Amino acid sequence: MSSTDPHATTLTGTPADLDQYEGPPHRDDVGGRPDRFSWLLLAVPGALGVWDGLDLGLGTPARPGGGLWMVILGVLLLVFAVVVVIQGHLFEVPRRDGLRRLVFVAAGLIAFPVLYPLVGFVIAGFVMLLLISRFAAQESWKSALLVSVLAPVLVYAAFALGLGVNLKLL
Amino acid sequence: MDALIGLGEGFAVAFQPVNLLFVLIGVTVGTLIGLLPGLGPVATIALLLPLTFSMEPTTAIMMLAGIYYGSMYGGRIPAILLRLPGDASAVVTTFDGYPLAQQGRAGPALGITAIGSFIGGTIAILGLTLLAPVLAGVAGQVQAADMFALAALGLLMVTMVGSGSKVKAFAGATLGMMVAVVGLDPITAEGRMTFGSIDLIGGIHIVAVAVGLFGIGEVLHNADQGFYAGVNKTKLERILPTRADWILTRFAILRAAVIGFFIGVIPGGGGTISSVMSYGVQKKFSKQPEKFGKGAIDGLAATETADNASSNSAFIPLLTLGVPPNPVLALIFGALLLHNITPGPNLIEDNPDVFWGVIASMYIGNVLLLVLNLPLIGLFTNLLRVRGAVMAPIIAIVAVAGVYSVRNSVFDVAMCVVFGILGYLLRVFNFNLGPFILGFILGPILELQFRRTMMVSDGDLGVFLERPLVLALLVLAVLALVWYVVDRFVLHHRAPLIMRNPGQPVTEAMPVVDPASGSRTRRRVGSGAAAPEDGDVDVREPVARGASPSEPRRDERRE
Repeated sequence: MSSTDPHATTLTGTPADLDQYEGPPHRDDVGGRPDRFSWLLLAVPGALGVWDGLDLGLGTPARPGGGLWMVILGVLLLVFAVVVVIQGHLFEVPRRDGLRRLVFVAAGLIAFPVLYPLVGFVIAGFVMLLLISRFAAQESWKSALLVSVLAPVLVYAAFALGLGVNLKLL
Repeated sequence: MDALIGLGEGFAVAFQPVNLLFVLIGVTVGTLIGLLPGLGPVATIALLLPLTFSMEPTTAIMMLAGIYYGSMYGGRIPAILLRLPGDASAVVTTFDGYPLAQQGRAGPALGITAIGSFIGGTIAILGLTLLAPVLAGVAGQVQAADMFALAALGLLMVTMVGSGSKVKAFAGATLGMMVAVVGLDPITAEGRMTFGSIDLIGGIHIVAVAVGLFGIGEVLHNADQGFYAGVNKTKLERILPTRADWILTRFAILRAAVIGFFIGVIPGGGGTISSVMSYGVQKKFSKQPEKFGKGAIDGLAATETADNASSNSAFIPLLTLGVPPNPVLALIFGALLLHNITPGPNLIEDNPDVFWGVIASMYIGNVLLLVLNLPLIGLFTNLLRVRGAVMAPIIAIVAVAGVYSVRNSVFDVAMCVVFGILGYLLRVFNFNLGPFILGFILGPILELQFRRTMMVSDGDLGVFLERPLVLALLVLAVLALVWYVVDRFVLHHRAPLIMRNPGQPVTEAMPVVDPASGSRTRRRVGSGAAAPEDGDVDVREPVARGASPSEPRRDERRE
């Protein structure tokens, strides 16, 4: 069965390359930079899980302790981390303009929980949305200020006044 | 007979004015978010979870269910008009939907998909009505070992069926389970992975994780890819298909409804798989197979019918077995838990109003979707003008407010941001987010059932093999693994990374990327046909939109 024949099917009668139809294709083996980082996303929680699980205790087969599940998961994560390193995947580094947008969006998102206890929902929301709409999305000042002022006010009204959520206004 | 009686009671619940209103809200919101690039059903349900706390559980689930199957309707609109699939399962819709739009037949394409989706949904809900009580009756005999095996199989299937690296899928699921461990041990109440933090003792809330991964993560992804630029104008004329269209598609729709129904029941089997399978099957039965990829209306109808049928039948494993078959239903599962309702074998006995009310509401929602999608399609398509730069801040502020409202906790908001960044990073490194959220939700069930089984059996692991259901599921799991290995390594050589329309040359079907600016343009697809006047869609450039939130990043560089 030729994989380049668009009408070829596999055992299940699906088109030759199912990845064509599942949205973004599998990207691990073309383009981009070597992935030397993603193993950390697995190894760090894996190591923490094993460490904390052993500390908590594995219990006995008849009464498994709270640590047993953590150790099982932690070991699995460590194994997966090793496999990911061995497989040598690739990933696409964000482009410069994408990185710039990301930084501003992330800054806005991080700013909110930091500012909220100090200045309340509306001002913290204003700062977050200004960073996102003006500096990340590059909207005009007029448009960005409009969204940054109106959206927090309306959302506050909907949640605090409409749903009775205890949101700190200022 | 019991099913009919139960359904009658369900309709009595569903027809209450407040429930009717929220079903209407759910399917409308679902259509809108399915239509708008940058937001999908997972993110929307995650964002709306906090709002459901003040509702009756039945009302909440009716609305969330409406969002889910409503989004299947909405996702086809940009797929047909712009070749922008609203979600992964709408990708197949672009193969024939977009060429039909190019031929000036966008209206009939939208119309036949709406009708096909309605018929597929209705058949699936009928099947759900008849099959679910039977399954629930059988499932009533399951024990802890069986539940462990069921949850494990569900997680395994979803992980295996998704796209991308299977190792990363399993790793993602395991990571999700590890995150779910944070908090108090469910049996001994000891702190786990709390590191002395009082905030972490309460665990990481599902709303913070879900909104972070799929809402905030999507905002970050769109920031990286470039916010969706919107569409200049859309023009649609005749919506209803012609008599000739109907003759071509009627059996395709019926066939696809059955295929979609059965595939939707299998964990991981809904959406894309059902669309692809029914497309492939219809091509074999079609009187005009040469048209596939160039505007085959029966292929289009089959795709959308199966998609919607599977989204309805997917409720069967959720409601009867307590096993969510995909990430969206995992969130609905979480919503039920938040309302102290445990989906599973006992749901039909303990909460018949929820069980039958949700099923009855799906009949109503299906009708409402047809009513909305035929006459109001012009209104909906105007929403394609909304730019991503406007959507992103709105999503962000609603997300933080919603997450905060769960426990009045800034810590939850901080966790939401953390998981948003984690979700983005996972996508950058090509991890599928679906297994993660399923692992997060099913992990505690797996652990609890495992430990209970061990306690009951006094530490004897052999108990797992003594249960017929566990043995059957084990055989199924082994068969699934064998099938995957055979299909992947023996029969199915991996094709180049091409996202193309079957039957069309690669160069014409590919989006063109300007290497200098990175902006993406889309050529009109077609074999030299003149640009039609009807259904003309002008696409502003650059065009970028969020892919399905559960999918890794898109590499659109080709050639």
